[in-house]
Amino acid sequence: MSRSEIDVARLARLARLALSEPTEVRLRGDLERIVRQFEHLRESTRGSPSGSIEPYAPHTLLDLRADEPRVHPDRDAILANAPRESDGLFSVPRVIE
Amino acid sequence: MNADPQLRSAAAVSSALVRGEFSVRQFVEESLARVAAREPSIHAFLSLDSVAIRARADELDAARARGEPCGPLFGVPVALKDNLCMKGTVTTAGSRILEGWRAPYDAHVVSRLLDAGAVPFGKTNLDEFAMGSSCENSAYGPTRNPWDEARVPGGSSGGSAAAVAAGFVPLALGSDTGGSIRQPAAFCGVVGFKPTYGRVSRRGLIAFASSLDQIGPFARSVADVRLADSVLAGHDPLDATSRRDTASLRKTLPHAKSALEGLRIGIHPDYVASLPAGATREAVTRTLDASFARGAVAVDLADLDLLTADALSIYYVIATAEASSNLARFDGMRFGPRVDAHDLISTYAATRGALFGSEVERRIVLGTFGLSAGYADEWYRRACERREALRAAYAAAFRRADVILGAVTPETAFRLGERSSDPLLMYLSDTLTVPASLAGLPSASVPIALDAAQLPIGLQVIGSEGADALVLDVAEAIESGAGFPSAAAAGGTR
Repeated sequence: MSRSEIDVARLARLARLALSEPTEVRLRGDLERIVRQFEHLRESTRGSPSGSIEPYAPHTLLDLRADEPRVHPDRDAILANAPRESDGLFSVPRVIE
Repeated sequence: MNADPQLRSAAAVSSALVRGEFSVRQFVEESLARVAAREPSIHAFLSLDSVAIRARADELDAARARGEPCGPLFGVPVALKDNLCMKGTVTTAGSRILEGWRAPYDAHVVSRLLDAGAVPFGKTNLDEFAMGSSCENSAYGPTRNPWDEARVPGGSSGGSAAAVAAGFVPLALGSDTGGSIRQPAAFCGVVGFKPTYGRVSRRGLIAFASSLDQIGPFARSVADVRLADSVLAGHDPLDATSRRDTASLRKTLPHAKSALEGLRIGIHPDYVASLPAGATREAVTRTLDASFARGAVAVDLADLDLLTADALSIYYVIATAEASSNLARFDGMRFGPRVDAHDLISTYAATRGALFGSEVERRIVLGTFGLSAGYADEWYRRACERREALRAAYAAAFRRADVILGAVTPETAFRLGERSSDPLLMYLSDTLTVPASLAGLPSASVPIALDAAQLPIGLQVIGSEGADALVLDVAEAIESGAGFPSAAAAGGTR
């Protein structure tokens, strides 16, 4: 991988992170070093054939509950943590123009 | 037994309280006094609600007076890492993005502790969102190692390890994603245990990397860790990765006298011989030799690919990928403070950019990179494949050996600030602990010796999936042979 492939500004946009320019520069340097260190992983051909791995907790069978509606016992405690709250709901910036 | 009641084992404290030797209230008052004396220099806690602690103590004393049954942890103060939810208690995960956030429910482990009669005793410091190996990434300042306050306690559960080492509490809970219980236990000279993945419910643990995170105890003895484990382990229908078979996993050795007799100890050079020359390698080698003298049998696993440089890479690709997803929920809408900007998306970004610390930012961006279009197949998927290969190698090892023994960390506690400017150097602290995490294996850290600077050295005991009881039996046998002064940093003797 060439260094220029790591577009920190794009990654920060994807991750919803507003970064200052000095932070972006520092992170780019860090990532280049880290990715270089991990490069051998990408080149590795050992292991099971590609495509056979579930993307989450591969060694654990998820034990899912029945999909039934449940009421959280303490709605007030959850809303008490809201940065903004109105009429028993989370208040957020306008989404629809 | 230690003469100082505060430095007795959790089991001894609990039975003394049940007998009425002293009241729970008296005991916690002395614990609070001990904390007041040394906490200003250690900074193990992010919050300590003495009013709630006294109220809980009085509640337990009253219940006992009424003749109600006392649980196995009756009256025992237990410190909780601040990424564990306890209803009504501020839970920050060491981050400014959760400043002032009060947990709306109890973590499964907290419910179990309360049912067992424990006294929740403070929320302990950690690297922000459990991301770090030194406790220096906390937004609220670092914790210091009770053995040498110029040094780190390890991380990320550094506050919990330090609280136990300093004698503030006999028990504490931490979480281990890539070594966050075992490494601070080793640095602080206490016992730490990461159970088999799924043995302890993660409900109410603020997630870092869900396929790796596991809650476990710290104590000054293996017996206390076992006691805590018996309270914590069990199925929870509200955690989809919680195992139903935790009870049947408690297998014990058929050996009558010592867990070491006839025990097949797997030895791999990466955990012992390849360590840098020094006190850690010497102490681990000495302990292995002593185990063989006590009847254990060495099994050479050098032909297996158990560690290699790969494990660390696999770990950091997977852990950061999962973290970037898990931490997406912290956007200033439902938890903690909000930094306003001109629209919804920029408010998310402004809040996250202003309130996440630099290591968390680094890992989110790295995880986003590993999952982004064009890279996910080469990085994340490849790491998952290599993880499966690593698991298979460990499964092969445990067909030949009962446990694997080796170092927890290549060296003892480093100085504050020594590694904080170099993320890669810091990540190397996890080299020996990430394999058991990736493979979901039970693993304990037990202190075995002090180096020339009087800093603790830990030994790691890794078992096969589900062999939690065996790991603790072996750790206890090693503990009894080592004679480590586990209460020394708290001013006591063993």
